Amino acid sequence: MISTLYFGMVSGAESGFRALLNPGEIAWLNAHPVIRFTGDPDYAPVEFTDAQGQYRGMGSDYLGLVAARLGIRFEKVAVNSFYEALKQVRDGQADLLPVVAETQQRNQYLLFTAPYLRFPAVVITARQDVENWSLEALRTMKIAVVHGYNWEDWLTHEYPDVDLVQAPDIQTALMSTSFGLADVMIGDIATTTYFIGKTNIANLRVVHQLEQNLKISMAVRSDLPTLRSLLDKSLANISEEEKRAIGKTWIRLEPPAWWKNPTFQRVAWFVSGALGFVILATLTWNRALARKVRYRTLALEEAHQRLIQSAKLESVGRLAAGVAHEVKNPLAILQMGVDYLSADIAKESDAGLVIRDMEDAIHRADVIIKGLLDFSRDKNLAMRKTDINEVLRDSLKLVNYEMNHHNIIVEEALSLELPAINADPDKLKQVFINLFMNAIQAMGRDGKLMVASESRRLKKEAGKGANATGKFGPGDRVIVIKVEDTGPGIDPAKVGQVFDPFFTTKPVGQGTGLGLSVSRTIVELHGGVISLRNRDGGGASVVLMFKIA
Amino acid sequence: MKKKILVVDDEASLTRLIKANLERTGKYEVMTENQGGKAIEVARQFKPDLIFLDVMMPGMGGDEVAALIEEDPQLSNTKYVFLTAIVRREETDPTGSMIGGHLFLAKPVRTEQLVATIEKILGP
Repeated sequence: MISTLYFGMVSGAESGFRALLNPGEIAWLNAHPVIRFTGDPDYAPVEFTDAQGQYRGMGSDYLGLVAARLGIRFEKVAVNSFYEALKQVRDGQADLLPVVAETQQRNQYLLFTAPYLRFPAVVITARQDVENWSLEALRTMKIAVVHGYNWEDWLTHEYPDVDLVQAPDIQTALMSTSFGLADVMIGDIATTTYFIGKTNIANLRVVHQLEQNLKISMAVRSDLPTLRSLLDKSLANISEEEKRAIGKTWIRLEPPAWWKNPTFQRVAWFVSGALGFVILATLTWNRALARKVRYRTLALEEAHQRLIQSAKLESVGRLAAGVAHEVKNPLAILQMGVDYLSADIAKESDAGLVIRDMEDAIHRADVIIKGLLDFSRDKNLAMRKTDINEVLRDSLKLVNYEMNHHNIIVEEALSLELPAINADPDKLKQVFINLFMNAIQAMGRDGKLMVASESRRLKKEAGKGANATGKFGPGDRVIVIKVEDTGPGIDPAKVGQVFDPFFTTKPVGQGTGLGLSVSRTIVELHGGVISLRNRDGGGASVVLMFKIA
Repeated sequence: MKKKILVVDDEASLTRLIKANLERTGKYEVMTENQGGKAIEVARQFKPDLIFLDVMMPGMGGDEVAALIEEDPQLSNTKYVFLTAIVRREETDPTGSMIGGHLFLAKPVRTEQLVATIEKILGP
C-alpha cells in the first residue's frame, strides 16, 4: 500500500487547544503520532487528489486545521474510488475518512464526528418535459447515484423499489443523466455543479433542491473512539472565520444563493437567450408575414387591375382576347340552352344524345379559345438567369406520368457545361412540355424520347443553317437543345406548316393546332429559333437554339 | 324564403336562360338586367342577395358596377361574382376563383356551377 506523507510534522500545536484534551486523549495522541487517512480521489471540491497526487479540497483544509491542533501527522492511503476508501477503513488499512456522510450502513463500522459541512441535495436532469421533481415523482424514474455515496444508501433505505443507476463516479453519473441513461441524478449541490462546470455538460440543469442535506463528517474506524472525540474537539475548535475562509477558497455554499450557481446562471442565460430568440423570431416572422400579406394583396390588386384593363377593351389590339369574348358569350348562351333543354329530355333518348353532342361541341370550342388565349397571353417575359438543363428536367418531370403511361423511355444527354442564359423559365417550360406532349402523342405507345443539350460556337461560314435566320452571326456561342422522338415523323409535304396556327395532325378534338405556334412565339421572344425536321431513322427532331449573351 | 339573384349581362339571351335555369331549381328568385348603367338602380330596388356581373359590357362595365355596389350602404350586404369570357376556365375553380379580391367565373358556365357558387357564398 503506497502511503503518501500528507502533512509534515505539524509543529506549534495550539497550546490553548491542548488544554481541552483529557489525559486519556493526550496519551492516545502520543501513542499514535501518525494517522492513516483515505478519501474520495474524485469528489472535488470537497475532497480530491490533484494531478500531483496531493490530497486537496475542503476536507484537506479541515484536516490541516485538525492536524495543527492535535500536533499529529496524517498519511494518505491512495485509493481509486470512494467505495475503495470505505473498504480500506473497514479492512483496517486506514484509520480516518476526513469527508464522509453518516449512513446506517456505515454506522456499522465507522464512528462519525458531528457534521462540519452541509450541502443541500439537488436533482439534476437533462429532461425538459417534466415539471414535478418531488421525491414522489422521482420514484418512477431512473435515478443515477454514485455507487457508495450516501444518496444511494438513503434512497435504497427510504425507497427500496426505486430504479437506481449506479455510477462509479460523479462524472459518469452526470454523463448517464446527460445521455438519458438515467432520468435524473441526485447529488449534493457542491460537487455536482462543480463537475458540470468542469465538464461543460450543457444539457444538464439543477431543477430541484431536496430537503435532504448532505452532512459531511469525519469518521474513524469503529475501534478508534478516542480519535473520534479528538476530531470532534478539534472541529468544534475551528473558528467561524477559518470555516469561511475554507468555504471561500473552494465553493460558494450559501444555498439560497442558487442564482449564483454557475449551472443556474448558464441555464438562465440559455433560457433567457432562447426566450429572446423566440420573441425576436416571432416579431420578425410577424413582420415578414405582414409584408407578405401586403405584397400578396398588392399582387392580387394588380392582377385584378390587369384583368379589368383587358376587360375594358383597352386590349383591343389583342385579337385573341376579343375573339375569345365574342366566341365565349355565344358559347355561354349555348351552354345555358343545353342546360335548359337537358332538364326536360331523358339522357338516353335520341334527343338526349343530341344534347350531349352539343355539350361536347361547346367544350371543344372552349378548348380552342383556351389555346387562343394562351397564344395571345402576356408577351412580357420574366427574364432571369436560367439553367436550361434544369428547365428541361423540370419539364420532363411534369410529363413523367404520360411517359410511363405510354411506355416511353427518356434518354437524356444534357451537357454538364451549359452556361446559364437569360430566359423566362416558365415560358420555356411551356415550350418543352408542348414538344414532349407532341412527341408522346406522335409515338402512341412504346418509343424513345431523346432530349439533348449542348453549347456550341457557330462556324465562321455564314449563310447556312441557323445563321440563315439572321438571328445569329458566325462565331456566336449558342445553346442547342434537341428533342427527338421515334414516332412516324411529319408528312414531308407539311413540315413547312407545322408552326402555322391551327395546323394539327391530331384527330379533331385532340389538339388545337396552336401548340407549336405558341412555342415558336415564345422561342422567338427569347431571340431564339426553333425548327423541325424528320430524322433519317424515322421520327421527328425539333431543334431549338438560343444565343449565349 | 327564396334567395334573390340579379344577373347583369349585355347578352339578353344569356340572362334569360340563366334566369330560367336558376328559377327551375325552385330555390331562387331571379331578376335580369342587360345594361350596366341600370344595374345599380335595379339592385337598390330588388335588393338581391347576390349579383352575377358580366365584366365586359358596353357603357358601364361590371367593374364600375361593382365599385358602385361597394360604395352603396343599401347594398352593403349584397355579394357579387364576376362572369367573364377573358378568364380561362382552367384559371378558375368550378365555383369561381378569387382574383384581386373578387370572385370570377369563366364563361361558358354551367347551371350547376352557378348553383354551387351561390351556395358557396350564401350557404345552401
